[in-house]
Amino acid sequence: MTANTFSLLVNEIRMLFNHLKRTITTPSMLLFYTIMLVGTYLVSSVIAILGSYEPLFVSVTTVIEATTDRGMIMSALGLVSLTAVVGGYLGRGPSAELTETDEYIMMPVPARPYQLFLAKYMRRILRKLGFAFLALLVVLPLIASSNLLLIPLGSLIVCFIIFMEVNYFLGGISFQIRSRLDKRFKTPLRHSILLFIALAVYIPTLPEATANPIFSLLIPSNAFAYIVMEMVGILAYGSGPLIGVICLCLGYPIAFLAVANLVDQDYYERFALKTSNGGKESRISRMIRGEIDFSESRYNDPLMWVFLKDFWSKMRKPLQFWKYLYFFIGMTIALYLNIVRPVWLPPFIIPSELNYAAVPAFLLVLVLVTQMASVNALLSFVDEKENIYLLKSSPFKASDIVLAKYFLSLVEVTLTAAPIVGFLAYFMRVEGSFYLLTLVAPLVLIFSATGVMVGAYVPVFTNELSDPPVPLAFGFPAINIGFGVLLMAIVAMYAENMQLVQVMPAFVVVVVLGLLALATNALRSYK
Amino acid sequence: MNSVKSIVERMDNDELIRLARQLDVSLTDRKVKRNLLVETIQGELEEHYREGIPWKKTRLNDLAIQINDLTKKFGKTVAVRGLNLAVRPGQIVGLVGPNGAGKTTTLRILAGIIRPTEGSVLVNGFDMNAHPLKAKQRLGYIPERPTCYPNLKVREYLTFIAKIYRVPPIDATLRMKEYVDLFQLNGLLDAYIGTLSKGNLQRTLLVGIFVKPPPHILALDEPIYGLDPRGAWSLKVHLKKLRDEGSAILVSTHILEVAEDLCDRFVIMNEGDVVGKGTLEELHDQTPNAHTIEEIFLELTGGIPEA
Amino acid sequence: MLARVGEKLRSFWPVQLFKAIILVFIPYSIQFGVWSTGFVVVDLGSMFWSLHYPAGTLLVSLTSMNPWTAAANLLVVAGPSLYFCYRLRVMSAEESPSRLAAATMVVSLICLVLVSYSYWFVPGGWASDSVYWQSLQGFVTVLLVLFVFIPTLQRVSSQRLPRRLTRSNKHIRDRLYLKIAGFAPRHVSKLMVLAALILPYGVGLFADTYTFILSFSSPLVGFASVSYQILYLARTPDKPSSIVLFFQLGSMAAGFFMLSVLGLQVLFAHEILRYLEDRVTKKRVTLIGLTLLVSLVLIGALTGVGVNLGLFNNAFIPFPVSVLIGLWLIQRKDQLLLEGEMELTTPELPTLYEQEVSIPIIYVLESRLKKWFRRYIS
Repeated sequence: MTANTFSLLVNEIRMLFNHLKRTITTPSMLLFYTIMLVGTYLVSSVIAILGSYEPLFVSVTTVIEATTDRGMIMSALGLVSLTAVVGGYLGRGPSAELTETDEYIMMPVPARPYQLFLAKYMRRILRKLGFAFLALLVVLPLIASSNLLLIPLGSLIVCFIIFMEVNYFLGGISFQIRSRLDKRFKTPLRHSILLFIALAVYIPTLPEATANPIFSLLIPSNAFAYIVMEMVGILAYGSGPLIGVICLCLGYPIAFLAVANLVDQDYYERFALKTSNGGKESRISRMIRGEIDFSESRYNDPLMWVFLKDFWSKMRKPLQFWKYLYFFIGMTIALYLNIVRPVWLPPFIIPSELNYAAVPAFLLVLVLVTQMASVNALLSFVDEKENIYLLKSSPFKASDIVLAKYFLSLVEVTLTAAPIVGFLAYFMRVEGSFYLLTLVAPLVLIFSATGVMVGAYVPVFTNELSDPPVPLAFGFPAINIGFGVLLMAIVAMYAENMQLVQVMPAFVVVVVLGLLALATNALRSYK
Repeated sequence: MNSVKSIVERMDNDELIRLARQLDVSLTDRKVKRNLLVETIQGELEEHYREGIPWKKTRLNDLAIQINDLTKKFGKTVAVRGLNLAVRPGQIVGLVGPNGAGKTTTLRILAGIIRPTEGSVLVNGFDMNAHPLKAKQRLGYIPERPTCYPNLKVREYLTFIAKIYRVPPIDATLRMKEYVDLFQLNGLLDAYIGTLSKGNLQRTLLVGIFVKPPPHILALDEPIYGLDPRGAWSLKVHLKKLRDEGSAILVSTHILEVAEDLCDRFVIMNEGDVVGKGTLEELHDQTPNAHTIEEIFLELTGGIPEA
Repeated sequence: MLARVGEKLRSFWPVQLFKAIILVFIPYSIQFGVWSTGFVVVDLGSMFWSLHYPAGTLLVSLTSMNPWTAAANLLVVAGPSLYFCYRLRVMSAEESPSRLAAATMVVSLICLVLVSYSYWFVPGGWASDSVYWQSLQGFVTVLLVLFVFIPTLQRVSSQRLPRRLTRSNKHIRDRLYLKIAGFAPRHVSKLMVLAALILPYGVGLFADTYTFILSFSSPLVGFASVSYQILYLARTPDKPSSIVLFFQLGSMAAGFFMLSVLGLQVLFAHEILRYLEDRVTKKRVTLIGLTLLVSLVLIGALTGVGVNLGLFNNAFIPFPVSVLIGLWLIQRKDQLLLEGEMELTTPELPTLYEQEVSIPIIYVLESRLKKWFRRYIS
């Protein structure tokens, strides 16, 4: 007698609901999340100021229409599906959603693998919808200021989620193909199937194939590209997004049912064997997933040990590899654009009536971009979670731990911010932008330090309920923006004075050392 | 039936209302005297179980757990090699060995989490590979490291497990009450699992497997882990009681005192191989130089170290 | 004789009527504006009179409403509150006035809606005097607060003393409050009610002063509370500049929303006080606080600030002061518990094995329905 699928689904919903209930009934966590939401709402209100630069957005639309065509957009989105398929083949597919608790509680029960898959998928989709709703709520000022309509935007977000889920299923199908092949064949040549799968996914998105309207819309990435073009009004056919939505929504259940039907014992096996597969997979795919033994380090410095530990721990997260890939590809394109300055992709033309605000806008965008990238620094301590005790009880100086986290944060923030800054330098050319760009360096230094400092206080915050550092949690974006504005003010004040080369470094050094000292103090005071 | 009646008498008011709802007892007054409610429920239960309590009539296959030539390889590493093991109803078999011997791997294969490289595993006569659902229906498994969903309350988790195993609601309520009392989880039913200590979590998992009706086929990996002396004693007494009632239990442990106290037969493993098998007397015969279970174990797993 | 007259005047009804009459004549909307040209405008609006001061001339005008109609409107909207006062006076000390207070609020609102449409039927009930109608709303709001809310709160607070403290041990209760909040209980409850009524729940920014739609080139700062709104419209680079301070008491334009929010604020304040005295659980208080917070954010975001002027769609930033004060009080109590300066006595929960079992209402209804069904249908 198998378990009732409905019971499993209800259980997942109950767990999500209980999680929400536990969060909102703990005053400190409620306050923390409220402050983060309100803070992000404030940041988006600030960003919404850009909404009045509507001519800028109009010029972006014109540029895109002049330089691309429908085929290119569809091919570009086809790359996303291709990435999903390759990632699914090399990764764990749907079993990446499983947890250790599922292994010990759900795998031994008389439930079929597809039932557990359905339950885990339900959880995934509910969480995604919840985050999408919160994100929409938080960017409400941005939407209002940009004269965007809420319902079409909401529909676009839902379509985006469906598209990403279809890609997830494509990855799942690719994973199942590999599992079946692994069972039947041992030869390494079996992996050449990946090439065929990739071609099968990508060829229908090429311009030659998308010339056929029926064919083009049956493929999910093409359908999504069609929806985006129709809704945004770039290269639109003019027939509305409905047909695209229908095609995308048709593809979703087909892909979902395909994965649900294909899921078998390998769904359990792949998860359960994740730590035992050491000798089986290639070093490259293990490196991509960060499963490298780094215990034999040639470094003899605690700072480097903590640095390497964090570095390889981060590599074990699925997205990290793709982050490095994004950095390399992004920097390549940014460098190409800035050096070659292609005629077919001109920068934004700032309308003359907005000239007075161009430089402040540029600086603001610089600050905001660096601020968004610096969230990585905040996570450096937060990711330790209960393992903070291990660090605290180790014979390392607190300052070494903080410095290790800080240096890695610099790397992470730089990796995230560099390509965006490169694009900003090319597309948003204002007077003196070349010199203004150099301000990224002190901003990265300061914002990383702020992130490490606030992150160090988070365990203190959640541990010492009676004395939460509320101003810090509220102020992470605000502190960063404050420091950013202060830095800009110093630059403006000493712009024509040689003292700038003394004042600015001194300011940066004092602020960074001060913040790191606070972080060290937090680490010492954590009980 | 008397035990069922005594369970009802021990229930609190909320539990009585829950049970009354499941029995479809008609309660048309806002306030009811407790003893009247208890009597009504007991009467309904007598009617409900008039053909006898269902789990009392079930019997297990003669070989409740049967492991034949089990081999498991992880890449080039052999975790288990050629294991043969059988547990009959009314037996507690101890799977004993040092860390890395292959005990946990054996239990994970038995629970259907991973598949063997070679060999077969049968639970209550059903092959875990060919008929996993039927095999898992009977089996109760406790992992080495107790873990559970932190965002479920204890009561919710136990109810969920009962639903998964299709335990009838009335049976589930009665059994849950019985084992919650036995393992002293009364005050924790509305606590979130994420807030429980290791011992209480272990108790919760144990109640979860006993919510299913007996006889049980149990695969327990370090079941005493995290339990205080009172809890450990209760569990050992209860396991022996279950064995006497016809359950088949496979216990994996490296704590020899627990194994000696609990188990009828032993299978001693070392680095994937079986190095000793049988009752304590038979093992004594295999290792004439050893006098205690500890010395038998050390002798079979590499020799007694020199002082 | 004079003493007797004085005594009669100081008795209940004359005092209440006097208070109500004062409220009739106070101005509910005050506008003060200074333009860059030096042009000054002062506008005071009340129900029966308004004052207009443009550029050096003072204009006092009376309402264009028919006086009898206006008086009748007053009686209709004030009647429920005055009746509540009378009932509260004759009510026994143990009886709870909460239900009657809620009913009074609802009836007052219904009366307000009715009189606003009365111009269809009543001669001279012409609705074009917007100052009159806005002031009438303000009047009803203040009347409800002074005559219904505050007396109810006082009565309920005095009724529900904790079991471990008797009326004669009020000084123990006072010490408890002093320890937690630094104030005596009467001040703490006043603080909470003041926070609910007076402190702003949100700030609105950026709205064009002429078209009243969102525009970041027109900085506007508006503070919204349940009882009033203050707007500060600063000068703008390309629009004729003005600095206008606008105060509107009784912002009923959002009507029922505001009263529900006010009700939640008062409930939250009440629950905080009960939590401080260990009479309810923290979970309950937190849930009510969360509900209040969500309502404030939603209402503020939907209705904006300056809604009386039609200033929708400004960038609204919620600033729920009463929630923050409440949470501060909870944290303060937790801190004292942690430091061992207070002992927690959990609110009494029903014992598990009480001799009488309370069956849930739904179960009883289900059983009765099934019984009826079995008897009459099958």
